[in-house]
Amino acid sequence: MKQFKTVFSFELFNYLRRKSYIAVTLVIIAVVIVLLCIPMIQQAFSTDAPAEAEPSAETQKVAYVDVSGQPDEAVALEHFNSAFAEDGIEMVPVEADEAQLADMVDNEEYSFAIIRTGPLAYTRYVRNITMYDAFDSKFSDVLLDQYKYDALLALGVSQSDVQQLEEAVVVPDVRTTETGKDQSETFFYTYILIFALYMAIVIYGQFVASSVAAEKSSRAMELLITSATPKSLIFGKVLITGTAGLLQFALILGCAAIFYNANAALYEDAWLIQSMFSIPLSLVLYTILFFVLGFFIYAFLYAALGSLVSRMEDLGTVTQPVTWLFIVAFMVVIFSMNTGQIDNPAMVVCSFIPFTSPMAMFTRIAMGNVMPIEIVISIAILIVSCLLIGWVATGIYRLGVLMYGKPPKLGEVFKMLRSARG
Amino acid sequence: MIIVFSTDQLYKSFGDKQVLKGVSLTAQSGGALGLLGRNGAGKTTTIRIVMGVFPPDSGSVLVDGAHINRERLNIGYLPEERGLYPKSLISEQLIYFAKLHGLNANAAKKSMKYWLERMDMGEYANKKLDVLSKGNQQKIQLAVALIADPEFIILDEPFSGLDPVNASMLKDVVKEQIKEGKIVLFSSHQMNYVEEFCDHIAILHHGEIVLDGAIDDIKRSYDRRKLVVKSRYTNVVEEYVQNNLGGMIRGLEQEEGDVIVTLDEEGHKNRFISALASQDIDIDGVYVYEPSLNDIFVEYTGDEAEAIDEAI
Repeated sequence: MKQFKTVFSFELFNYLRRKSYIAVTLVIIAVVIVLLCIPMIQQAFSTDAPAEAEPSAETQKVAYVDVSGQPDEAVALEHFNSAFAEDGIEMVPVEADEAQLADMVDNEEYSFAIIRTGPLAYTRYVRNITMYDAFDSKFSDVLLDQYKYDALLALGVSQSDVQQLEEAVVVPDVRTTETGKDQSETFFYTYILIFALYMAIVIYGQFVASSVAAEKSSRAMELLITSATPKSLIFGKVLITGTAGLLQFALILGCAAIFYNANAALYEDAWLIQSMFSIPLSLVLYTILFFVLGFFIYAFLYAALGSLVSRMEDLGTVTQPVTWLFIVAFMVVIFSMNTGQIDNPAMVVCSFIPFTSPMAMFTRIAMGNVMPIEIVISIAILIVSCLLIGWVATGIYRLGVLMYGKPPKLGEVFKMLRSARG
Repeated sequence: MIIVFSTDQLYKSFGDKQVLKGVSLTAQSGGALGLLGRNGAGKTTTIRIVMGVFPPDSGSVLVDGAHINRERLNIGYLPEERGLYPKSLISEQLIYFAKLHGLNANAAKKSMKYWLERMDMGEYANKKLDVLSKGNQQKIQLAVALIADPEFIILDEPFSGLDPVNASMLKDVVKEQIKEGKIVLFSSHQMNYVEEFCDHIAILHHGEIVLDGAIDDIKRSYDRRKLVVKSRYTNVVEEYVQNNLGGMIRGLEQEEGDVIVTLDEEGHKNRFISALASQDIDIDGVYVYEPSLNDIFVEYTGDEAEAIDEAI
């Protein structure tokens, strides 16, 4: 235990003193503060610039030809223009045939052109359609509205009644049950937390691997392994990296929280930022728990792998399978989040496999419906796996640290382990 | 307190390759044992087994006849694979290793200061290791081995890469340690150092001890019929011996400016010396030829073909 404390304090001191660690922490804090300043920056710019100038700068001119033969062409056009005013689209009536319209669009005289060919039909000439182009779906709705409006008038309904009908709105009141969750509320912060978990485990895991490999390539290992037990060395290294990681997180989140609270009034309209700072405490605690357990599992694997390489250049190749394993876990979680089916069978399975459960179970807790017993089982499996993997990793580390030359294959490692134990 | 360290019939294989085939060694407090052997003979494997890096397949490491308890026996180790933390301060590394060997913070600091001064490295205490020259790094490495005042010191090639001044200082340090009653296990290819420190040697060849014992006894065990005649007039000596004393010699050769005579019987030594001394030839000295440690080493470990193979 005394030896472990010595390793721990020496490594921690060295870690916290690293220029890269200090620099990364400061840069991330600075970036977070800059991000938190965005509402202020936006506010500053919006008061300086003249309000009316903004929409005109973005107005897209659209050539409009109506051959639908519908009555009140001018009224319809006015309706369309008022519907698209908020999108900065202005339809300008022109006299042109199809070829001319196409030319106008090609020459960039107009952003695009519309020929209304019937009450519910139109042709649109456009140069490029972006992924986010929503004109057609909106114009279809507007056309349909216009069509219904014209039809109702034709049936003899008074104009005021038609308008009243149009202005009618539904007021939904959706309430989630006590065990249910509103994914539109939880999605954003869960996404950020999953991403943070992923980054933290991969980055700090790699740190462990490179730190073991560095001791090996600097040949300090032989002296270390004969001065301290492999268990003290590997547990010391894994724990300090985890501690340094948590400390870094705490610093970043602490600074962000202080900054947020000091300027809380500015974030009244910034729902994105508000949702980040309204993460339930239980979820923060789960984040820490799953970070710690997930980190241990991967850090032990990374430490064992780090002990197998003699040169830093080989480290990437050797650690790749573990990194891939974690990327797959990440992908499963992200896809499930995007489909909204959080508790799908893949996620349920993943939330009990120790390599994937830190992210999968965490996401299910944050966004899905999971029974308390499932959480307990998942965490218990994780803890037992941590100890088991720690034990196996210590064995590999003990053998690996003095092995120089080409990194051994996985089969060879297990063979060595068996013969060492036997 | 005198401690007797020994290994008893150590066997070790890595895969199909048998590296140690029954290695037994003995050393005791106040004595230095030179472990000699060519590359790949099994020296480092033996040392690693002693250090507990891995267990032997069979055999045991004993202290006073009982299984070694590495937590109780303080061992200082200078491994063949040199290396510490290049980016850490020298003082911190020394304190770290002192603490790992059980010293408390104060004792570790005191010992660090002592050893840095002793190695003439006091001014580098707060420098990073990688700013030092290779020789100075080597001195720090030795300081790490000795920092916790070990009872048993294992030095694997301690003099490689040192200039004569540093080598001489290190020699003094090692001699002091032996004088203080430590056990020193010394592995080296540099036979002059081995001869200087070690009263006992063990030659390891292909995983077997092919020769062990006190250096003096080993040398004395060699043929004492061989005499070295030192003279400025080697040709005259050679001619005289050939013409007048041919009856009592079995061989005659010149080697590095000396005449080497092999008598047919050890009892003819005095007659031969008297006869030679009675002549009017300028003789600087006559003494029994003793092989150097280097000669003994080569004799036991190197058939020349093998050496050439390795060189190629």
